[in-house]
Amino acid sequence: MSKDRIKILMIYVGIFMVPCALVLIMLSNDQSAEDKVLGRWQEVSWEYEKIDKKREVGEENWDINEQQKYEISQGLVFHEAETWHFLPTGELELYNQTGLLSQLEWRIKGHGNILKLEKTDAEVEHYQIQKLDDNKMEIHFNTDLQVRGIVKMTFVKV
Amino acid sequence: MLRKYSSSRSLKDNIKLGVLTAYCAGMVNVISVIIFFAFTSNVTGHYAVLAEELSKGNWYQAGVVAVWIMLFCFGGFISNLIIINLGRRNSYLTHGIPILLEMVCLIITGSYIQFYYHETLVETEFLVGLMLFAMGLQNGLTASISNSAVKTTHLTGLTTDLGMLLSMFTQRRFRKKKQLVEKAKIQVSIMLAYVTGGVAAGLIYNTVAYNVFYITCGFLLLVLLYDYYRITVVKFVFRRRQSPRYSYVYSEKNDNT
Repeated sequence: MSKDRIKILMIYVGIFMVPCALVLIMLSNDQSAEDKVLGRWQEVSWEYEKIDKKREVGEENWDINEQQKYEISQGLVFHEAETWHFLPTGELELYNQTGLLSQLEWRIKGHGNILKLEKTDAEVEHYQIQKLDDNKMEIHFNTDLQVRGIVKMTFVKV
Repeated sequence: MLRKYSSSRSLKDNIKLGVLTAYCAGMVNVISVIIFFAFTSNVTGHYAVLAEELSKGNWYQAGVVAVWIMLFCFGGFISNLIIINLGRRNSYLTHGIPILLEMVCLIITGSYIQFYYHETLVETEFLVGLMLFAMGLQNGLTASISNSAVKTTHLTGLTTDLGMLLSMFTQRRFRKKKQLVEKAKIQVSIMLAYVTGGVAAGLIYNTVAYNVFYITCGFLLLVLLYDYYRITVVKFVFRRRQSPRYSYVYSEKNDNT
């Protein structure tokens, strides 16, 4: 093998190895969304992230009150749940103040940005995971009840 | 479709190849969005996601998306490596190998979903990567053998070119240029095939589910068999012309004239 060919080969190996090494470092320095989400999460707030109307002058508070929350979540699989417990088996236990409310199946899709919740084959819902770290989780979903827009649910790890 | 190379390819060859492969890419992309919530026939969006995840400090997700982009690139690399190294002594076989590899990737994806898929994130990441590699193979092949006239897995460049062509066609001198008209025909054909493939996949997914991958392979098989059929027919006609019986009939006809 000539010197030139060895040089080319080395360049190609380098081109291949450097990104691979970088990716390995990135993967080993973080957890997947599937691991991060495990555990109990307490719902702390509901607010509109975006709404389909002009923001009024002086209207700063986009919080969703209890009545609105009840109406919006009426048709959703996690209806009235306050604490979500993600189990490694792929099950999601939903609790309210009185105790266990219901059980669902959970899966994470895409590049770790989509949360799929399944009650039965007919009841499958997808939510956008906007933020997920060790202590905080933000989930977005579209609604057209009350006001058409994007609802942001915020959870903290308990 | 696959036999001819670069300048020896006709408009018909490019349209046939473009339409069939773009149809497959459209199907694959829509199915991957439905099943995995990720695009698999283009990487423009993945670059944006990579940048976003890096800015958020989500190293794992950024790493996964970086691997996906690398796999698409690697698909194009492998495709062209086969073409330039196996030579043009048997161009049909050489150009057929990337299509075969693509079919293998899609069959693995379809079969895995059918028999083993538990919807875990690791499985999703692996299967999306495999499909991106398959699309990289396809895009590398079509671009390589058509001298970049046919690119079928993403429509960004194509839409830009089409916009430019449409603006040029506002002037008569450009409308008269055969080369530009042919280019526009290819672009429109690819665009329509891609969208039609996507719509078809979306419509039939509820009925056939993961079998869409096998249907896509069927279209790719059509690409492979079309040239095989043509080669067989040409050889058959050539042999008949060479055979003594045919020569006798041919000479008799000539004698009568």
